[in-house]
Amino acid sequence: MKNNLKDLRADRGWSQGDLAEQLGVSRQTVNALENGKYDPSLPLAFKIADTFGRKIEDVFVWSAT
Amino acid sequence: MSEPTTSPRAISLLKAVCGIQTPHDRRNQITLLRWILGFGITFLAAVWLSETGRVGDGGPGIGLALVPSAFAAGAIWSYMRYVREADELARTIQLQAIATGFGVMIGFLVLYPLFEQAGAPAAGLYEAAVIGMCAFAGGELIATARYR
Repeated sequence: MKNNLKDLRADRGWSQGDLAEQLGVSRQTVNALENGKYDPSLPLAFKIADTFGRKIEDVFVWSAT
Repeated sequence: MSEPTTSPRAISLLKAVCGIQTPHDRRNQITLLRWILGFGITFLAAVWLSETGRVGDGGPGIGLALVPSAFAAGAIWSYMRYVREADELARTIQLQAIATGFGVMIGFLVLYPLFEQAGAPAAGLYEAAVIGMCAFAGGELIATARYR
């Protein structure tokens, strides 16, 4: 699964730590999400989309590879 | 003489291990460490009291064994709480570490008798537990590195 978390975060000028604090996760989790090394749970994916005021499909894109 | 240096790779992994916790997780881990410390102290004290014959058999001996058992129960309870409430990536890493530790320990218990028959030194449950714990720690490091 791909995502544009890094761009959305950069648009708002947030650090990984800022976003992690808002989501209630660790900075390492945000880092792993941005690098595509970890796919979030459904509740966390919805929370991320909600934090950016976007639909979930605007943040996460299904990719078979 | 030059100062010993830590490799950047090791520092990066250490930062990843430390950065994987939220403040809530850290509080739960401190609680867990307190239970483990209590268990360690009471276990060693119980072994010493038992081996030196300061506590007799029967009721007093069982009472003595119950003290570290209570701390062990507390440690298990607080570890379960830590995993249940942990950041979801930390939970994933813990799951992989548990799988590694458990798998290696069971593998050791099943396979090591073959090595013993071939002349390897005898090993028991304590050795299996230590190997399981080492495998758990190794599994945690490997999983942390995977999501770094």
